[in-house]
Formats: sequence, structure tokens, C-alpha cells
Amino acid sequence: MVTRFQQAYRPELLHTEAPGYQPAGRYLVDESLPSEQEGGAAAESQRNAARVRHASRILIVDDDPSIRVTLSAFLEAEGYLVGTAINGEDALEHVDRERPTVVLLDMRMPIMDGWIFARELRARGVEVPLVAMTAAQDARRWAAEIDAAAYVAKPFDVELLLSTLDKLCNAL
Amino acid sequence: MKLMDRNSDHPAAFAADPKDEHPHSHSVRFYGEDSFLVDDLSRFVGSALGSGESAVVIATGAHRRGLEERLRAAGLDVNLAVNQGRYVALDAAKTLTQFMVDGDPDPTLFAATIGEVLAAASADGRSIVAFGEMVALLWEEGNSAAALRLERLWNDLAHVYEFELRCAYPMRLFPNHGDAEQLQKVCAEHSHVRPTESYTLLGDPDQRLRAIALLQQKALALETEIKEKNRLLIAEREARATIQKIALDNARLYQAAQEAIVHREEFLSVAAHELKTPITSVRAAAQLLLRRVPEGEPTKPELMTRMLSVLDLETEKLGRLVNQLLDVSRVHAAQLSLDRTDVDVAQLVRSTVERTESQVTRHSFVVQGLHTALASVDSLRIEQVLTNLLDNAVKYSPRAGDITVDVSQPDSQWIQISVRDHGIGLSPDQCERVFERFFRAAENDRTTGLGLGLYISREIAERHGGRLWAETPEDGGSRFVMQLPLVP
Repeated sequence: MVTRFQQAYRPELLHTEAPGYQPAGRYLVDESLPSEQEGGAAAESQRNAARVRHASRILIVDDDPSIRVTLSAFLEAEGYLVGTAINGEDALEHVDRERPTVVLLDMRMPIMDGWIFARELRARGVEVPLVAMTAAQDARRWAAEIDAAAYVAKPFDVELLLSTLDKLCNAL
Repeated sequence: MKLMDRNSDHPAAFAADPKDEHPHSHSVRFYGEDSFLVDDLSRFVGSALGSGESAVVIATGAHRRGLEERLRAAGLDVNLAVNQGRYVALDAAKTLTQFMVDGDPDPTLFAATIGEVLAAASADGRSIVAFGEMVALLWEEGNSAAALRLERLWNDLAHVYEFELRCAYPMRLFPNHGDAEQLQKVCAEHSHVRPTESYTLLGDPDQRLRAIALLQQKALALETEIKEKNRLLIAEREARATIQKIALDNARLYQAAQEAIVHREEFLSVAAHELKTPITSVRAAAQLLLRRVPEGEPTKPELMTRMLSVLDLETEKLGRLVNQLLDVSRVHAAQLSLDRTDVDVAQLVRSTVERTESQVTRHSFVVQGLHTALASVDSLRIEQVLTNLLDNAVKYSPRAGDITVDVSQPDSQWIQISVRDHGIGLSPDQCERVFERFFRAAENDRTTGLGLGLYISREIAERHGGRLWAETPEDGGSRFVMQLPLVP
């Protein structure tokens, strides 16, 4: 019995996430980098933004594979270094291995949720800005509970996510 | 005042009463007004003193003063009688303290205290009359048991000393219907009972008979009144119980309604959360493609396929969520219908397991048992149940582990399919509750889902004439069992 769903669905595509951080621009030539000849202040600031992204590691923590796949593809295409973790416990291991610049954190996850992750992180003395990412109605309150630097309420505009991350990474 | 006939309320009527001649007479006087008691007492004491006998009076101060006043008024020399040792007046309360021990009259102390007084008064072989109201004081204090014991001690003392004794109780000590029994106990301790003045003051026998008839009527009226009051009391109590029950029912209904509202709000919030998650992926994938494609840049086919797969998967998930919501309202409206065909359930199980297995990486599945098992079922609905059970097995085994699916035929009537995982398991209490609508494993359940899967699954199994239940194996995890009839 083969369903339409089986034919269309290629789950292996969701399991090709790299274990660690991938170099930026893996899929795309980064067109945001203007050529040296163009010059000018705007170009300079664009180049600067691109440099910041190339030097910033974003850790995406979400138990939903689709969210991990789309957000990592998107952020990588925008020039960020990206890592993923499937829950808080997994995320702590990542943090130990490679210090991320910002952690993009789903709140409700099995095994270890966002609240416990945030607490554990601080107990280890790790200072890294958290961006809470949740579909809950009280996203703002949850963000406050874990003392997050920012929050994005699902479903969000990726532009908003990008500007939130840019702002945080620029400030560091 | 006539003082000579001490034992008679009315000389003409009661002079012939043989009991009055009893040497150890112990009578009790009930009274309404103090003045009547004092009058009666002055006759009792006055006739004794007047005929050269002794009198011992153990009474309250007011009664003693009233008595002595009347005795003097009748021409008796009270002081002389006192000097001769024939008139002994004691305070009732003070005398009590001489023999009461822990709220009870001590027999030895009583015999010594009162015996000494009686012995002195009977000097030269004089007869004695004695009046006491210590019993009334005890009764008034609420210590009726001690009063009755004291009455008995007086009776015992009559075996040692010869004296005529009279007690007195104000009738106000027996105001209630229920006091009749106590009154009878008091009477039982006495050889003579003298009613209150309402009866005693009546002059001739005819008047007394009329009074008795009147009292009988009063008693009957009281009985009737009490019965009526009791009936009303019972009715009132019943009415109050009914009102309480109604109030309780209302409170319960209100609580149920409130819970339903909270339930509905919780459900809406969970449903919104569940729908938003796939929408987030869909939106992010679509926006990623939108940013790349129009610019005609060389987007890698691999990335394109990835994003389109996400779109496909997540819209399919959205469709499933919407179907679940529709199923719930169908179940609610009893409109969940089946489209039965002859299906090899064993094969259906295998194909469903294969599909689920292809979607997960960390869990491994084992299918065992029958390879073929034909039954008339709605294959899409049964597949829905199996998918739900397998998804749950994965979802609630976050640390991976084997999932065993078994197909068997326990007897000639049933096909049995069980799904066993080694995950977080269930408490015995949860075994039934997981099938409730909107049930989620715990308040702090961080896993996702609408809490409708098992509710719908059980409904589907039951529509087939089958059953679906949960078990908690001893070595952990959980086991969900579905039985379907071979013949519907």
C-alpha cells in the first residue's frame, strides 16, 4: 500500500542536517557582498554586515525537523554560520563544543525544554543571548521568564528573524 | 397560720393518709413560688417545734430568714428553741462543701457531718424533723446525678437515725417535656410526693378533681403540640436538606460548565499552537524560495527540493490536524461513518509500520506474528489508528528504543494488534485517561499534539465493534492493544 504521501515525502531530506556548523554560503554564492569597485558608504556597511554574519554562529534549538531544516537553510543562505539541536540537552552539548553567538530557542521540547536549558546554561556561566521562538500566545512572558534578549512568535516573518539576529550580533 | 398538722397540705383531705404516719417518712415538695415553700416549711417546722420536737433546717439564706420570720409571727420563741438545741438552721451551700468531693457526695463525710447534727438535735430522745434543699442546689448546678445520690444517702441515714425528712425542688428545674423522666427519678427516692401550690392550694376534693381533668387536657394538648412541632421540625429539616442538595447540584453544574469553558480555551490554545508550528515552517520555506528565485540566481536544486519537501510535509501535517478536528466534531455528532471492505489487516499493519519507520531515524521497529489476517474494516480508518499508535510510541520514547508490533488471533472471533514501546510509559491512572478528549500526558507535557489522537482512535475501534486499551508492562514503557472482530 503506497500512498500519495509516501511518494511525495522524502524524509531523508530532513535528516541531512550537518552535526556541527557549516561554513557560510554552502548553497549560495553570497550576493550580498558588493564588489570592491562599487565602494561608497552603503556598500561599506553592507560589507560590514556580511562580515558580522560570517563571524556569527546561530544555534537553532527546536524539536520540529522542518523548522530546523528551513531556518538553517535560510540563515546559511544569508551568510550566518548555523548549528542545530533537537532539544535542550542536545543544545547544551553543542554549546560546550562550539560557543554560539546567539541561541534561537524553541520553548516546548521533550527531554529538556527551553526553561531548563536556559537555567542550565546560566548555571554553567555561559553568557549567550537567547532568542525565544514559540507558537504560544504568551511568547513575551515566556521570553521574560528565561530572560531572553528577544523573542519571535511563530509563525514569524523571516525578515524579522533576520533583523533580530543582525541587531544582536552587531551589538556583540 | 395553722401549724399543728405538719404533713398535710389540707388537713381535712389528707389526715387519714397512712403514709403520713410512717416513722421514716421522706417527702418531696415541689413548688412554684418561694413564698409558698416558706409557708409550707413554716407549718412543717412550726408544728414540730410547737410540740417539743427538734427541727434541722438546711436551706438557703433567703428561705431560712423567711421561715424564722413566719415562726416568730406565729408566736414561737425561735431563740429559745435555738438555745435548747431544738432548732438547728444551716446554710445549704456551705453544708454541701463539707462532704462534696470532686462533684460527688462522699458517703462517709456525709454520714459524719449530718449524723453529728442529727445526734445533737435528738438529745433527750426528741423526735426530729429535717428539711433539706441541698439536692435542689446540686440540680440547679446541672449535677442531677449527685442530687439523686445525695437523696439515697439521706435514705441510708434513716437506718441509723430516726427523723422525718422533707426535700424541696422548685418546679422551674423541670421545665421541658424531656424532664419528666428525671422528675420521676426524684419522686422514686421519696415516700411522699407533694405537688406545687397550683394543686395544693385548691380547697376541696371536687376542685382538685376538676384541676386534674384540666391538667390532663393540658398534658394532651402539650403532647399534640409537641408532635406537631416535631413534624414541622422534620419537614423543615427535609426542606433544608433538599435545598442543600439543589445548591450542591447547582454548584456542581456550575463547576462542570466552568471546567468545560477552561477545557475549550485550553483546547483552542493547544490547537492554535499546533497549527502555528507547521505554518512557521511553510512560511520560512516559502520566503526562502521567494528571496532566491525571482533574482534568477543559481539556486541549488538540492535546496529547492528540500524546501519543497518541507512545504509538502508541513501542509500534509496541517491537513491531518484539520482532519483530526473534523473527526472530533464528527464523533461528537455521531457522524463518524465507516467504509468497510475486506482487508488484510496484517499487511496493513506491515505497510503502516514501514512508512512510520521511514520517517524516523532513532527508533527501530519489530513486527511479529501473523502475516495474513482478513477482516472487514475501513482500511483508511484502521490505518489512521495504527499511525496514531506508532506515532505515539515514537513520540513518548524520546530516548529511542525498540517498538514491537504484534499481530495475533487470540481466538476465532478477534484479530489483535498490539504496539509496545519502551518509552516514558503511563501511570495506572493514565491508562484510561489517555483516551479522554484533549488529554495530554501532563500539565508540563512539552511534547506536541492536540490530545485527540487516542480519543478518535478508540472511537474508530469501537465503531468497528472492537476495543482499544492501554497497558503498563512491568518492565516499563507502554502497550496499546486493539482488538477487531473478524466478522462485523
